Amino acid sequence: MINRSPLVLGKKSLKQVTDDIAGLVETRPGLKYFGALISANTLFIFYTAVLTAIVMVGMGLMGVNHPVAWGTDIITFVFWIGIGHAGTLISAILFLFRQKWRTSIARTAEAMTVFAVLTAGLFPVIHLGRPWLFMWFFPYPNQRGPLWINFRSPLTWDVFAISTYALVSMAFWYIGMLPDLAVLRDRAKNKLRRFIYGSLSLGWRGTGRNWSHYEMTYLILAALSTPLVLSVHSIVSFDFAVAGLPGWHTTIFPPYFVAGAIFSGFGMVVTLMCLVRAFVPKFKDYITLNHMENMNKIIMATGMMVGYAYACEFFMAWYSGSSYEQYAFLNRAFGPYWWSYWIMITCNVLIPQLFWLKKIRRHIKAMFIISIFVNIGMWFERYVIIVTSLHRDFLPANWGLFKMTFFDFGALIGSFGMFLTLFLLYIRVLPAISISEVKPVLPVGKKEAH
Amino acid sequence: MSKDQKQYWLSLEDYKNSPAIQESVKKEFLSFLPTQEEISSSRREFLQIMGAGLALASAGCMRRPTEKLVPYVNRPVDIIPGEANYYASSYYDGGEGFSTVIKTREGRPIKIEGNEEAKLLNGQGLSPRACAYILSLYDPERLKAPQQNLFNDERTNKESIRISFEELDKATVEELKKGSTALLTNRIPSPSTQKLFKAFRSVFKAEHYVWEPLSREDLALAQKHSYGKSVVPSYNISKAQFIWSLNCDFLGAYLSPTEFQRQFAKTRKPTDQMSRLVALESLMSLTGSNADERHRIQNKDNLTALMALTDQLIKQGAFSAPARLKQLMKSYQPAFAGLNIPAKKWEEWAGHLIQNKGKSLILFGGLRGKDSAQAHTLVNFLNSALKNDGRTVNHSQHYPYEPGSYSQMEKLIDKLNKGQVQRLIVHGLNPVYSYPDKKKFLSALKKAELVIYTGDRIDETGFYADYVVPDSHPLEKWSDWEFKKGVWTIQQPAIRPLYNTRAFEDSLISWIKLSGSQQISADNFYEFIKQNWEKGRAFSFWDKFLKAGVYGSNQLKTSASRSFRVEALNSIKKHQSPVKQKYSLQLYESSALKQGDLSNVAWLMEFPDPVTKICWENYLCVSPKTAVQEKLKEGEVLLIQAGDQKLQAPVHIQPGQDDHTLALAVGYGRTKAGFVGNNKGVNAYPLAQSDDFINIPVEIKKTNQFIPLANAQGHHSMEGRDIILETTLEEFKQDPSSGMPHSHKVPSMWSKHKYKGHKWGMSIDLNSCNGCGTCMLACQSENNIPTVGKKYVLQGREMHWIRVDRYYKGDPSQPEAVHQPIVCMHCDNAPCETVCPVLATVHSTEGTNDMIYNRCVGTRYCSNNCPYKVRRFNWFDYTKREEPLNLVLNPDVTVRHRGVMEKCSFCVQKIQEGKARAKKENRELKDGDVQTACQLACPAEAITFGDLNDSESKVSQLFHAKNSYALLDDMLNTKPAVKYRTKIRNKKPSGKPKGHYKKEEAHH
Repeated sequence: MINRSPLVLGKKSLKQVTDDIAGLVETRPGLKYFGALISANTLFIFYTAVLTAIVMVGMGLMGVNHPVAWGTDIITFVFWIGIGHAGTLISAILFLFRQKWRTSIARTAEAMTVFAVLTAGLFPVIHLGRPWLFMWFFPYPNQRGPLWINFRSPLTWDVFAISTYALVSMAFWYIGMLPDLAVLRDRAKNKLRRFIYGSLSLGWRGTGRNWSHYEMTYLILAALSTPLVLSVHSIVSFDFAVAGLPGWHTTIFPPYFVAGAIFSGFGMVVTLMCLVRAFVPKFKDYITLNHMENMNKIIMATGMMVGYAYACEFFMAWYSGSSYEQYAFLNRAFGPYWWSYWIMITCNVLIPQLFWLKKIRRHIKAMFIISIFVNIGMWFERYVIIVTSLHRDFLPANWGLFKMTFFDFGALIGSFGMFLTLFLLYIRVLPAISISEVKPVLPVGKKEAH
Repeated sequence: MSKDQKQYWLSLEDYKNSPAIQESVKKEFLSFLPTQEEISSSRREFLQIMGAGLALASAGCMRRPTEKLVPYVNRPVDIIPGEANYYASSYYDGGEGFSTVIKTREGRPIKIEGNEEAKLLNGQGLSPRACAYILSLYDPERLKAPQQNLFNDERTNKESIRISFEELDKATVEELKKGSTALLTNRIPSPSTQKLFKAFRSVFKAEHYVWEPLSREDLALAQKHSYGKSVVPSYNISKAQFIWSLNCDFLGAYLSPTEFQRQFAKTRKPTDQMSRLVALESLMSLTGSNADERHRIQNKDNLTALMALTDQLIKQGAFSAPARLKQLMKSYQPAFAGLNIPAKKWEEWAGHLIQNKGKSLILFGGLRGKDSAQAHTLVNFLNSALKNDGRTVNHSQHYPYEPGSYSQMEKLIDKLNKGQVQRLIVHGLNPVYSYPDKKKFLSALKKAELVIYTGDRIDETGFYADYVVPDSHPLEKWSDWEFKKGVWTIQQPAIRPLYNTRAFEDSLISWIKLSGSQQISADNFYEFIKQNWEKGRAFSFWDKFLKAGVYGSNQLKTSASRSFRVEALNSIKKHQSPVKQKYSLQLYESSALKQGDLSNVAWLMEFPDPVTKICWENYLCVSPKTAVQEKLKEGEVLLIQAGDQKLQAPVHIQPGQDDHTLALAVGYGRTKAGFVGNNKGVNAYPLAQSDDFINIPVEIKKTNQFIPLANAQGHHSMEGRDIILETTLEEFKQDPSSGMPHSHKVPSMWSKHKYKGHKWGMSIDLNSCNGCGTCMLACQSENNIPTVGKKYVLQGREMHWIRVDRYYKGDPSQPEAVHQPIVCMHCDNAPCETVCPVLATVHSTEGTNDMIYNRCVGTRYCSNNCPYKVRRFNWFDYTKREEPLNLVLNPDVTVRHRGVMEKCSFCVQKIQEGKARAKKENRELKDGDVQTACQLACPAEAITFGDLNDSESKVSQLFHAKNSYALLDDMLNTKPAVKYRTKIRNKKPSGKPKGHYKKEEAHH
């Protein structure tokens, strides 16, 4: 039998694993943590102020205009939804494929998914002209006629896709956490902790019956989430693909968006994991360089898929023979927003090529920087798709430009405040690595370990 | 304290001083605090009381405060709530006159429409100004009563106080009796007003001076030289087959453009009789953009160009040249080459003119210039020689009443300075703003003892007047007009004066009466007009006149040609080689602001210029070549120096502009117009101090500043796309579908909408449309469309439901221009309808695409998916309008909330109104019962609206015409309910092959 490199380093005993992971929740965080939390929180408060201003005064505060009626809000919405995809992919698809290396990063990736979806979910509401009526998107018996919704609209599909995704990924995350919450409950040294974790663990006792139901539920949820990985971003891409605009109206969008989402999601996971490794050194044994390398490989693969999609769009524009399509793509690369296009190409296609080198794949600082580039590139991908297609469409008389205002930047940067606040809170109150899933992959009790 | 000493007692017990009382005195509190037991035993009671209190409180909340509605107890005759009343009226905008119909609702005017009875005037067409002047009625900054200015030592305004008309009249009449009074007005072509002026002059021994900043005196003067009588002729454009226009924007600004647009459109039907328009211009005007052939020329070469044409006409034997002309020709001939127009062009034009003798027209004229009168004289000679006089040059139905003149104004200034005029009444003018030499006028004005000004606010001139006696708004006062000789119109007021203002004519009458004169028997101007009109006429005449709004001739007359006095040619000077200068400045009038009197009307300020598409300010137009040479960028601020006058204006690079001419519009840069009009652009009048508006030598200097110009159009080339399809007359005659790419059958997966009743549709004739943009303002007025201001126009957030796209084609220095009105296409396969998640935009059973504002949540997806981008979003709360501006709102159209999308509705309120009327009259809806606002106002009748299911209707015939096409339909299968008919130019075919998406030369 070939010796595989161990998934967890440091020859941990079972107790050590529990101590390491639960310990993070049980100790008082240091100043560094509070510093980070306060910064994130400040940004979050700023975000709230910006959104309040937009809701109170009007959409006109943002840069959106005629003809570019969608701007930062939708760009950032798609960006965050995309980020969410890595979590589900890691926890559901890799679970179904029995990829054991996923265990130590799954929890955090899932948490990232949940927070990214929460962050994203706010944008379609904020971008409305009358956000206080957002519930009109939902089909429920009402006193407005009753007014039903338009099932032909991709935005309606979006509502279902995203709410389903949010619910399923939250359920998946939470169910997966039950055994670990029970561990925290058992280790709790005071009443309050015991009460909170006790309630959260839903009476988990670790009996055979518990485990058997748990495993089955987890498997079913994984099976449920798997199609979501593909469907959610496909449906988000329909917002564009179903519209008739040159640059939007293309059938390549669903797979292209999914690949892009996984790409950006893994980019974000790598960013966060690098930070976790830096701030919680003992997690280095769990989130090993092997993990990081695996993720970098996926980034490289999906990056090339996205690159292929970019090229394919150009080919199709040429092949279609439609001058409108052709113009839209030439304008993307060489029009007034050429810089955004080339930022996108550089960040998404060229820079990840560095991962061909094993050294870089395993170099934490390098991959951190590259993953940041991937995040930037993927935000710009949505910028390119939305802004450059809208700003010059069919009738040249309508052409215009889109300029971001203070409020655009506020909403974009502020959303990171919301995401990071949630993430920082999570890392100190919930088990950031799945204890129950890491333990079975330990070499403990296996021959090789002795 | 003994009992006896106690003086006051509380009760009998106290008086008796019983032991219980003695006990109680020792206690601090007379009552006891409740014990624990007592409280717990009253818990039920407490709950009861609380419950009762709650019930009471909630019962109180349930009833809303009573609001009593009081119906009309005595309903005013003719007013039915919810139904509009229409009154025939008139509007004189200072240049052209309109016969109008005023729509009022519940007693307030809400919209201006044209009067189709006025066949010789504007008909049902209007101009942007005629649509928009209604907004000035509700201007919140209008004076609400007469004001007296208290002056400081420099005779500038220190403080204004409100006075009553009684005080004012008393003070005024006392002063006026002293004599040496002068009346300064603009040209007022109103018979009754003129009669009143005459009476006023004789009563007070006053003089009357007529001046206007945009005077046509050159034209009148040349007429006097040429024919012995000073008239401002009209032009029978509809009778002209070949129009050769030299720097004359007769479609945009000259004399009576709305009338000319109407006539011109009639000649543009693609038949053998289709007219041909050749324009030679220094700047790209609306006329030039509609020309079949356009060339650039400098204003200094106007005479030379006319001479070149004359030369060819003589050579081709059109007439024998008088000796003087031969003499002149010799001096001009060497300069012909400098015109940069190929010799064969002159030959061709002369040929056309000779061919169309009596059916051609040579036009010249803009603002006043040094040699304009000479050029007019030569034009008169040519038109006479070509037998056009009396046929296309209509001297019998001319524009009566002398045009205002600068020489009169100078005489007045002189007399003021000499003290011969002591009392001055200024009416209808704002000379402190619009007289080029403001200083000269002001110093003269300050010498007057009394200045009375009739403006509706303390504006530039009002600031220096002793009394500002606000004239009532045209919608509030009576008048009669003779805009054209033999065509009289009546101006009925549509509302009582909103404030304590008085018509100027009424002021004159009361002053005449107060002076003790018996000259006028009428008590007010209304009676005065009525007396004038009823004298010697049938009893029923007056009512008929009021009802029709117009009286007199309604057919274009042709008359005998006048004999041209050859000696008039002596006034033409020999060619002098002009002083070498790099750039000369031409001032021009914009079709929205003209002389600058309606500057506080936001609709006009936000009205994109028909050619440049820029709004909210004026700008210096330079040619693309000049921009390259001087390294100028759009919006770059230049310092312009003409003599000792300097001003700064941003640059606009205008395709088609002459390379040596810079152009700047007058009418902007008001400083005391009000909130909307103040400091928008610069005042260009001071640059015209040398009596020349069109050829001012200037120097330009860079300032390194930028002012972004609010251009409502994003891009100005069609990029070779099939947007406006064009053909030539010759090709059209062979194949009416020429110019159209062959259409593709687009398969559809579904069975299409079924329209059982009506199916509304629109056909727009690109060949008739001249791009004037009146439709935009008619729509704005009908549909309560807000204005957003320059800042937001820059962000592309203007709200117009109909817009006119203008594209250039060909070489940027000599481009062809085309105009295309864009409304909501009401597509059968509407891209907007499918993407709205909340069903806020839905397809009606009659084919319209309806926007349901209160359902809209504002995703703006519909706008993204609309290939025509006709949807407009309420980015902010535009519903707040300062009172009384809210009174102009059309109650039939919802005022849209912040955050909802809006767009053209095909005037759905008018469709409903038409259907209701037909039902009430128990009949089927007829073709023409429903007319959209844009259609009604279009002077060129380019828009036809109606029922496509009715095969007899005009629109369904036009819709299925061979040259009718739907925009982008081939590409997107949207099946629009709006179709365009191809633009047809009367020029030689260029021989381009037909094909899909043919590429044309594209320029920005």
